Amino acid sequence: MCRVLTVLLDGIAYGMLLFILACGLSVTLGLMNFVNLAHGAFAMAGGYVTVVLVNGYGVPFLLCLPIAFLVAAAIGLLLERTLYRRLYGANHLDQVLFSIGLVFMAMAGVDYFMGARQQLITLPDFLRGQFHLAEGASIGVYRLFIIVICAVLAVVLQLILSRTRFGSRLRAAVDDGEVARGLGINVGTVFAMTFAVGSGLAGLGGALGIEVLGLDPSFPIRFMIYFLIVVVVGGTSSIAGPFLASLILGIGDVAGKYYIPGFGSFMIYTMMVVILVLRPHGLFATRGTS
Amino acid sequence: MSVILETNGLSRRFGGLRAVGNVTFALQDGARQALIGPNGAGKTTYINLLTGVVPPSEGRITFLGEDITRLSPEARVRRGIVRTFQINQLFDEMTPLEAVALAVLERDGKARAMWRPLASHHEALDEAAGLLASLGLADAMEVPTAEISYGRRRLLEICVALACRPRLLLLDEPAAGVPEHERNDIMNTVANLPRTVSVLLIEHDMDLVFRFAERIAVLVGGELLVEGTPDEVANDIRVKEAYLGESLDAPAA
Amino acid sequence: MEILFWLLPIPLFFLFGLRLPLLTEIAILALFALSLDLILGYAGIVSLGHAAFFGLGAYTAGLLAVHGWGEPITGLLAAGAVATAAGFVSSFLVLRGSDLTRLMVTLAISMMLLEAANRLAWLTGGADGLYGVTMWPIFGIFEFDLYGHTAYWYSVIVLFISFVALRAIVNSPFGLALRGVKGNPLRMRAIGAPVNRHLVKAFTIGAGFAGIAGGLLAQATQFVSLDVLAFHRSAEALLVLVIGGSGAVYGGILGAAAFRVLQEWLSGITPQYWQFWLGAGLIVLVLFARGGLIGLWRALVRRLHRTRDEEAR
Ligand SMILES: Nc1ncnc2c1ncn2[C@@H]1O[C@H](COP(=O)(O)OP(=O)(O)O)[C@@H](O)[C@H]1O
Ligand SMILES: [Mg+2]
Repeated sequence: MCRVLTVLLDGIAYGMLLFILACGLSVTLGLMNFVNLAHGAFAMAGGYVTVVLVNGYGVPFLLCLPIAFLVAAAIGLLLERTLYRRLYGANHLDQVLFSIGLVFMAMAGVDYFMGARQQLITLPDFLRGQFHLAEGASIGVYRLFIIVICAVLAVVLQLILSRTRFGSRLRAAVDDGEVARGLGINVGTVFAMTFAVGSGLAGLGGALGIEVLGLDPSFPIRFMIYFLIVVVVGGTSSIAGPFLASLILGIGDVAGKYYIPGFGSFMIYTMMVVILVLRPHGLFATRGTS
Repeated sequence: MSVILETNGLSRRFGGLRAVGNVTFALQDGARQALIGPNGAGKTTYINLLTGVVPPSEGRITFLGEDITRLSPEARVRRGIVRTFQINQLFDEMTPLEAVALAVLERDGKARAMWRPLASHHEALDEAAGLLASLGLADAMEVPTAEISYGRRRLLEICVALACRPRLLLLDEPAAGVPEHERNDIMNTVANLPRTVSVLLIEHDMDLVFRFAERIAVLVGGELLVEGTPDEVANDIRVKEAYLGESLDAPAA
Repeated sequence: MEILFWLLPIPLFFLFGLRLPLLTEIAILALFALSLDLILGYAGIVSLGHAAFFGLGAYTAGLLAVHGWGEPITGLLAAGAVATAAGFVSSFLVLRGSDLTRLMVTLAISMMLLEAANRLAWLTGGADGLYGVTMWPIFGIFEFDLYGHTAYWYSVIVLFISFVALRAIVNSPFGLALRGVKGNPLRMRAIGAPVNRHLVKAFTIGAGFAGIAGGLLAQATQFVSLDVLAFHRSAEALLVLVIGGSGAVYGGILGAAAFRVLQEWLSGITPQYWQFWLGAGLIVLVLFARGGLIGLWRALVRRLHRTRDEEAR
């Protein structure tokens, strides 16, 4: 019983982290219809920035989190303005190839400067240790920290989308770019802002995830499929879809690896294929299929 | 004369919008029928229902006495219901000859053939070339589709449909956006179709409609408002109201 | 021109006698890319998991040889048959959704196979790879020799035969229909084409040839590792097509040659960072030279024709 609770909480932490990592991808896909396989590279950037700052310059971990966000967002903004925007109208294959190209460059670059080894950081004391719940079940303090941060972020994102002017513009642009343009919304700016924030969130996720997911140059490819699952299963029309998809994926993955170790990742792929085959437009798609 | 196509209480809703509502309508074999109505009246949706691209919310479609409501789009084409599109749907990477030959091959079930090169399928290529020539497209046969004038691409759109040997041809605004001097080619093509092909024509140009149609149906807000001869329709007070003063008078004969 | 092209392997054999394994690899990569081109370049099905079929073929041929059937030709046919069957079955999963879903499903299928091959170590050798692949002489005559002479000719000939078959397919009415499906599926349905059946066939055939390519690798190198199913192998085939040009039968061959030669050269200069330049090259190609080498070649030919026409006037 306590085991179940522990696994569940671990899964939730993992899922929440996936959500922060992948929600940017879901927005770029919904908004620009862009298949960005390089999304994980932004997460990796955030992770490595944190590693360098914490281990090299002794910057406090908590301070690194916003910095990771900003650095990844800045890189995202730069690449969006210079390269990504050229491929908005292109077919998915070109976008895939282009972003694989970026992934390769990022991986090789990181390998060159940081080496191929797994990176580690020392968490501050107050984030270490176990938090004991009822009946002897426990959860790592750090995982609890992740859950809290990500939950807050999810709520903030939802509020931004539903309450602010930017949010309504964004939704208008997602629904129909032409109409949004007709309403005088500068779609290009909305795209750039969104891309930057999405990349930033990935960077933040990368920083938060060093301890949980591991960090090495293969990060973008290792987690590519997870991000894609979140987006494809969750759909792109809301925050709630990817959020639920992330949780299901997180809990499923942790539980799978815990209870049937031989088939852990096997289960994820199977789950995804089954879902995609039954619901090709996502588990939570609300739009018609035509 | 016998009925070739019939729809009974045919409806289609998109969310809250009723694009086609309760249309009961019969088309005679060999008909020269026009379907008119303001933009958004549901004309294209009606064609989408007939061709099976969009499933109906309610109602039944009968073609040559057979209930085809649940039939796949391909099966309907094989039975002879063929359409053109309001917005050109052509193969930009093919020449017109290839495109029309492809339609011929698909019609004859020969597009699965894998071993003989296309160039050796003389019957199909000759038939395609003949069809293109009969529409005055002989000189454009080998020109990349993207380089042909818009009006002639509209003709090609019809030509590809004809290659399927339609019993019933559904033309969705074939002359829309075509400059004046190319309009006649399109209308003559349609007018010269043999009577073995029944035609349902959607068109906004009333000149063309009244020149061509023997009967006219008017769709407004998804519902069939009037159906009758051109005279009856032109003098119908409800039609005049629906068109808010746009002239519907038949050109002086 | 074409005959000259296919005579090239002969001088190459004498010029690069010591680099034959590289040339063999190029032939195998070219065949793999050709098989993807049918699916991607002609039928327009995007796949991130084509290695699934390559790997299946490789393990089929490898396991047959390990378990006592080292006859190469039948081994290769078996590799093709297994991959064809797998392609047929998985096509129904792959073809359901949009581009994005297809990317995902193909990727997932290849990952599942990779995971399975990894777990079934008693069968596949797992991460250590499958050792003990011993091939019998081809036709009972040509031994697979240490210098790779036989492997070279064997691979070149299999590539040639497959090339001829694939070219016949793309030049047939079926090939035209595939171009139609890729160009405008809406119109294809409107002319009554069985779009899905065409796609299933293309996917199945493409998978089959990928299996043959995989089988060829297993036989020529007498070894199979998990690598045959890895994501980077699927990506490699895509890259080859981008470099060479997709939807053009020679694109795969030119691309494979350019790809492997560049790889040798760049990783010779800076061993680990070939990947970096690969990525950069990919971005440049996508942004500026989408037709690949074949596209450049065609543009050149067109320009030559134009100047000749002008001179004639
Ligand atoms: N696939 C669709 N999804 C949602 N609404 C649609 C769809 N197709 C058509 N409509 C709506 O149905 C109505 C009728 O459209 P249409 O049949 O194209 O009209 P017409 O061809 O007479 O101009 C329009 O309001 C249109 O917006
Ligand atoms: Mg219309």
